[in-house]
Amino acid sequence: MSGESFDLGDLTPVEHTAVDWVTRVECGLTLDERAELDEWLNASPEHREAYDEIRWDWEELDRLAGYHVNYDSSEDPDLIVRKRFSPIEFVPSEYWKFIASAAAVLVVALSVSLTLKEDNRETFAESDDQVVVERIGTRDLKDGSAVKLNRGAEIEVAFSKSERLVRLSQGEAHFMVAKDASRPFVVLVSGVRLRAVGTEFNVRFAEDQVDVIVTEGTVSIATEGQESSKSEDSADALLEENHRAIVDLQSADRIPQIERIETSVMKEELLWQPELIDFENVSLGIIVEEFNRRNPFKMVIVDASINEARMSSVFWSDNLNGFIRLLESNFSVRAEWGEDGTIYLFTN
Amino acid sequence: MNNIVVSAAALICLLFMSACQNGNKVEFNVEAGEASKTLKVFARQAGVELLLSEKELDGVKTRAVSGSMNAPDALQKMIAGTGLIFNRDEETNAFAVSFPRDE
Repeated sequence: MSGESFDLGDLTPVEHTAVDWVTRVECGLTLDERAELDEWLNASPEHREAYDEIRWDWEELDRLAGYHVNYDSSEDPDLIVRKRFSPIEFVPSEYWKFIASAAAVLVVALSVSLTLKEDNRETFAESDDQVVVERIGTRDLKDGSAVKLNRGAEIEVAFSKSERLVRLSQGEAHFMVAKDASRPFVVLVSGVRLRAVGTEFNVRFAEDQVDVIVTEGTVSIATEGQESSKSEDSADALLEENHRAIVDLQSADRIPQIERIETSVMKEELLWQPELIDFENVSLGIIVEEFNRRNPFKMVIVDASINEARMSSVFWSDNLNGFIRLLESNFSVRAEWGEDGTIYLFTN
Repeated sequence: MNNIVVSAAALICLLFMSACQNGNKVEFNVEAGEASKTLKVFARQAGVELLLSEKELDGVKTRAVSGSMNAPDALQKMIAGTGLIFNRDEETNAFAVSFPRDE
């Protein structure tokens, strides 16, 4: 460590671009911008590495700012300035001054942002009993693949030079796999092994079964019971587009039950994935019905006058909370959340 | 190097926080016309979600807007003089446009 000073110009051009993209993602991207980001990420592993690192740092700032605190959260004992801002190691005085300044600015910004966040919630939260319905997230992986995670889903990622391994430990996920013939993409779910090269498929992990639907390309499926009795080549069954495999986890042999399904059935099974609810001049009842098809929490219109109100919408199907808040703020609707998560809509 | 990147990211992110509250600038080109049509054009160009009441907007005309600006500014220009208001959901950046409600 020398006595040289530091400024933001010490970031490489790639790091500058990564910071710019992370902030733009936080503000929300249009479809064209999303395509532009994907192109930049795929252009070089260095781009993705810088983006992932800045993204992680941003998420740590968000966590400290309490942006993702829900109505039921308890006090977070970790909501303090983190170790990296403490003088754990000996550093030159100029460097330490910069870090101290950054920490001071951060503390001020956190105070401001916490205050603002509380005010915004008071504006829109008509009831303290509202359930925060999480949005569906998409996680970008380092190889250019992406995974849509249904609410409550959890995955672990372990990429190596020879294999791209993902373990689905809970819930449901839709995998959009980037082509890389040198490294098969493998998903492990409770002893079921799914292998793909470049394809899209949905996996639902419930207590008693694993349910796989292939929406594009080909996926091979093998289970622990099969693999132990046969060679690797003969153990795998192939699932093509519009095919479904269900593995009964309670059975001894765990042989996948494979069938071809209609596109309409496939779409019905994948309704959890966000789509734009784009209606023009329809009754609010129709819009509510569409939200109900796609969400675990259902709205019930109590007053008939609300049901017949003519509305137009361009709304993501998983943005249930946003939809309800705007109904309340602009359209004389009052929402009451039942204990079972049902949302009752009244005229206000 | 990690500490440098984090500190730099912290400062730059903070600088952009206010921009995030108002949204990125977008190139708008929306003609004047029937509110129920033009507001949806606005939503598509801004890449935002939108909720409207058709009955309220019947007969209402919005102004044209063109140029680079953030979504709230563009919407304000469009509805100027109509009596309409809009609300933006801070959590999700979705918009609703309507006439003010009686308190």
